[in-house]
Amino acid sequence: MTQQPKTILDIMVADIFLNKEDNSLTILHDTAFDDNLLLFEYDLTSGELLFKFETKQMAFGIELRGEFYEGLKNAQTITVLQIDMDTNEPVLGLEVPLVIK
Amino acid sequence: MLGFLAPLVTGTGAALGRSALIRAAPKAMNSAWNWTKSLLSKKPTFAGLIMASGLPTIAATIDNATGNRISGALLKTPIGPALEKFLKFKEFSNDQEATVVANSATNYLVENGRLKENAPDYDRSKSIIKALGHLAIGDEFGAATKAAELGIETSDLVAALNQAREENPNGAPKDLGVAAFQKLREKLREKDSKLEAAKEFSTAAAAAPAVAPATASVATPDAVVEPQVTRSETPKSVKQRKRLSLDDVSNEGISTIFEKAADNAGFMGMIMRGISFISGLFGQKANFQRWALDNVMTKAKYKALQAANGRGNVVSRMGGLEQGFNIPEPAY
Repeated sequence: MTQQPKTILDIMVADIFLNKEDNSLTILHDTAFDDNLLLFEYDLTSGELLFKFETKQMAFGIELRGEFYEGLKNAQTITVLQIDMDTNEPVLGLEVPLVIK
Repeated sequence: MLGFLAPLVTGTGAALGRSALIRAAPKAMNSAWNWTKSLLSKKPTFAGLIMASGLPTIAATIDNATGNRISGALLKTPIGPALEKFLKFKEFSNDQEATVVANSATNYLVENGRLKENAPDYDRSKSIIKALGHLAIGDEFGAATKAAELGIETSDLVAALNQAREENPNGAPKDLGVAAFQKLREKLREKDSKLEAAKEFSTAAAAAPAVAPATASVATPDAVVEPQVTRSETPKSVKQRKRLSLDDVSNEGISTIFEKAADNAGFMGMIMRGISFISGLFGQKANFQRWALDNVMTKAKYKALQAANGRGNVVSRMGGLEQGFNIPEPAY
């Protein structure tokens, strides 16, 4: 039995948000990444968002369609904020480029 | 063949009033499109278009920018050099001309079915046409374009915007655009004052005696710089630097530009696009890398998301709150 590769959602709590006021996208997550996140790649056909790290890549783990499709298609970057779930405060922020596949 | 551009690009074009431009532009655009269509029927490349015309047409440029609706060949070659040529037409110098060009282009595209008002990317295409219309006369993105001409790095632009954002985390894009522009202008003034100081120094040096009396050189503190005082040439860098100024670009104009540009792409997206576009104009490819947000920016981003969510303008894929992210609590 082949094991499916792990996704971001398998290893941490994360969610993606579309701010309709300025069409900006933000990903919040609760756990630090163990590698440098360099780039996002969004596949318009499959709706998959790929996290490209320095030494590996991982899918987000859920298809992004509908409003997110439009948002991602037009976005240039995604803001990534690591949240301390106890204090509900952001502890780390990144602005990561997004490319469309 | 290029008669359609004459009212807009010749020296007499600069002297035309608004009404003359309004009359001239639609006719010019029609001629442009007819000519372009005749060329496109032969499936030329963009390079071929430029070679055939000696300069790019507004129509060809817009065709590229609106998603290549006419010819697949057009996108195969960079648009940068073409627009760079556009910018050389200094006769395009005010907002009215840009608006006439952009409106004429939009109307023509819509009337001819090249741009559909109910298309999903209509607003985006329209924004790009507007930007191109302004850009063609050196107005839209004027500040940023001039910044590039002045040697202000794109990182300076990002830094200026980040700084503006830190100082006003909840500021509207237009306010941030103005603040960032002012910071760029300050930076330019700093560079200018350094340049001026270097120039004064070299002028004084050139005017000074080539060989100072030995006693004087020993008796005054100037003796310290004696080897430079004997130099009679102006430093190369001073002679070659351009002396341009952003002072003639009004805050109001920049505010409008940023407000318009931010309508669809989001603030950072607009900046990224602006930088990409400007870099392309100067034959450079903007390679963006992720960048870390500092503490202030990180918190500002989170607060802005919370505030927008509080206004009911945020959607999440996983449910946000159910995931444990407490963003539905607006932070005022």
